[in-house]
Amino acid sequence: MKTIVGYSDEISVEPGQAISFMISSEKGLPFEARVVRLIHGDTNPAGPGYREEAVPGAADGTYPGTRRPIHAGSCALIPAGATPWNLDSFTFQAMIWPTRPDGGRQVIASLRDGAAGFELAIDEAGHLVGRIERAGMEALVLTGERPLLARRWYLVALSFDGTSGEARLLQHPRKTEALIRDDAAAEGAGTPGGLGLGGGTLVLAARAAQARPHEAHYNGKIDSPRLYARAMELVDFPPTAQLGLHTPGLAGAWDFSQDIGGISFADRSAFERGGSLHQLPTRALTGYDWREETRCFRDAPEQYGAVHFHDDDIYDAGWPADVTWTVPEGQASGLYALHVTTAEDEDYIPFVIRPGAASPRAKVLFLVPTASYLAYGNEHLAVDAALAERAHDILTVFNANDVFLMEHREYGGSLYDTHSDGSGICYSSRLRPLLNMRPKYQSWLGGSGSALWQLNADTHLLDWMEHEGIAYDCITDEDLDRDGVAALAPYPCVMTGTHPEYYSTRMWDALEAYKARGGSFMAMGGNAFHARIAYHPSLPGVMEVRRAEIGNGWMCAPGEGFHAFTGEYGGLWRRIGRMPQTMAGTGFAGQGFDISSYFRRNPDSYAPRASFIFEGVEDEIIGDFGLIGGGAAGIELDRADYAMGTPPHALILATSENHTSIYMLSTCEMYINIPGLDATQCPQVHADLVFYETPAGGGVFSTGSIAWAGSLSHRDYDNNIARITGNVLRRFALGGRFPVAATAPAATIGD
Amino acid sequence: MYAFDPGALHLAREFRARPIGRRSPELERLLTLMRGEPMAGKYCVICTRPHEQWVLARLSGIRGVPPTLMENHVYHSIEEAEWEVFKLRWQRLGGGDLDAALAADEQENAR
Repeated sequence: MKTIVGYSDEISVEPGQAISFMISSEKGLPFEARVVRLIHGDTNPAGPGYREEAVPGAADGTYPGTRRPIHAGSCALIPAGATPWNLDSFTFQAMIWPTRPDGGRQVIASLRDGAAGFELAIDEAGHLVGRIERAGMEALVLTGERPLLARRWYLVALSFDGTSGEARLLQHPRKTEALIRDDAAAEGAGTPGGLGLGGGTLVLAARAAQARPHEAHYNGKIDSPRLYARAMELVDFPPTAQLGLHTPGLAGAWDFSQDIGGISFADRSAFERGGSLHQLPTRALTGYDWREETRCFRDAPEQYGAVHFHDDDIYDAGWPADVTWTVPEGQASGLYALHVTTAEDEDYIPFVIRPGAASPRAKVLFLVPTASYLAYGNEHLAVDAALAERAHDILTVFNANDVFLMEHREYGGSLYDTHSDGSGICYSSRLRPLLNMRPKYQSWLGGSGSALWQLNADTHLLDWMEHEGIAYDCITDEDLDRDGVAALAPYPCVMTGTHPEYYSTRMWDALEAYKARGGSFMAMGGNAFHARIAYHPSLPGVMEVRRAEIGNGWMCAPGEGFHAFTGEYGGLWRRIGRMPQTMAGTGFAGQGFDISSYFRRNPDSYAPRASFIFEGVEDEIIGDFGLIGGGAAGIELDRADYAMGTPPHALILATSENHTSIYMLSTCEMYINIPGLDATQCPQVHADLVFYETPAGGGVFSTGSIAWAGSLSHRDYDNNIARITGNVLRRFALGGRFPVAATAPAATIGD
Repeated sequence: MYAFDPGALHLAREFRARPIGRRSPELERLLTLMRGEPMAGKYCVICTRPHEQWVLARLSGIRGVPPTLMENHVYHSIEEAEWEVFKLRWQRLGGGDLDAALAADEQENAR
């Protein structure tokens, strides 16, 4: 049972900088904390075993434990600002697109100041309900007579006339259907008397609460909310559009279509009552007036005036810091964690110590793929969808962390999961505990055997370098995104993790620039450089994915394929125009998650250019062993393709074979539905081992396989995978540049 | 649509011999059916001691509701759990007691 969890404010720090850790001790037990250097996170007894090194320091000690909750759910907050609301009569209206009208009480808008206030909500039965409260008077409640239907646009309004005491409720669908009616209206009369509401914060998509910041979160889109300081007749409402900005009494007209990457939004009324978004609801989504010829919010922002709120949106858990540690000067770069333990449980909160400006540099830089860690952070695929066990062909194994996440959906999901209303999660933040980004953690995605994925799988690479005595530095994807090629430039050799799938444009550009400067690059994984992400330009620790055109767990709705954070088109790099084969010679071919296989050497491996790679390797079969599925070729596979950007002089050293039928051709490689797309019948489903020289004299080596690193420690680190990897790494890191003199091309037609 | 055949005992034997790994196309079809069972009540295992002990559980199929552990079904290998769940799913699909069917079939063959 999981009873202690935590996260850190930073994922990468350099010597001299402080990092803080926020801990929830679920039973309130005190906890011990200490910093450790992570070496080998794999507890599999068939391998070398778990290994960490203590880093004694100022963080070590016992701390009081407190249970800290996460309050998920997004909303918009609009304070009255400089001018009080001064509402005796009012009308609130908005366009809404509810996604879970049957999901319990959900507040669309609420404003309260003392005993006075109003609320427009969806009730337990899915009906629109308006509630008006005045000091010393009975509340006036109006309920629409027909329920709202999911995923349809409605104009909704609540108005109140303080002079007469009359109130009106309106629910008007944008589109009518045969045989069903989903319009509604209600009228009510109370005692005459104004609302008398002065201050207070207008909350959209939730209401303010006592025990937590907000409650009764709404699921769905809200577009163009407006507030008037007077009552409207129902006939004032145009049937399919909204009241204009010049209607007398306008007290606020909020526009979500501007500054779409940010968390603030403007008021187009004279009162300038701008507001802010809380816990990152989704922006850059189509509004009620979207026309399908528009694909990008930048082309017609006015058609993107909707914000999609979810009751499980989470950006920042917001816990106070329990432990703060300043990295001592001289502390070596590497992968570290704060290890916290109570009498009954433990957690590791991983982080990277990157080299400081004055730090001596190793020859090898390990690029910790934290963007890909975040993409999979708190993944729930095997809990929410039947696909996991099918893709795995192994009974799904969960552990204590998984069970905790099943109970605590407020911890948020991954970029593969959906919100409670079924819409895709497109933002992932590290300002919350990510319980699958841990040493010792086993994942269903890691196949049979050790069953490691992402961070823990990457420790196979670190452990091997430690065993070989190869000094390395570490930086994260966030560092690469921020610092660009400058972060890579000091190193002759840069190495990726086992599954560097998610890349921002700046990360991609930095690696290309590094290669163009002569740097050598080892791509040590599968399904690498596959999908674009965007980091937020100012909010720390959060990134965005837009699954445009091709889904993976979910897919963007039409017109919603552009990143809110950057305005860039989202999806797969190959569809955007950058083939993964141009980055390291290979690109995604297929995947399976049961057992791994091996590589067979190709004639290219005997080319003189490759002799350094195979020095000491006599075998034809490579990697028919390993902790990840029993082989070096497995989980996700990337192949070379000269037509897709593998450089024409690249050597395809070895090719994997004999994969099971669970390995299926990637959806991005499928252009027609035909039988025979699994690895037993489809020749494209394989991994290629590739080497080539860059024009600047660097080398590029790609394993094309996630499972490769799991074979390194086999037979006490003495095996053909370790030998090949070591040969490449030492040549790249220490051997200087490769000869790259151009030779004349072969004779062509016409000669 | 592919339909479960309770008489296909050769598939049960094939699975028992190798619960994880390569399959015949026929067994793969059966496993695709079994492994795609609805999330409400779907079998899974919870690892209670890494690499040593697993307990059978059933998913709730409801967000926020954890799986139900079946504490008296404890395994010491994934393969052991696979075979037990195969038998439970065989029963769910209407095939009855697989152990009994296999025993009867073996007896029949011995005659």
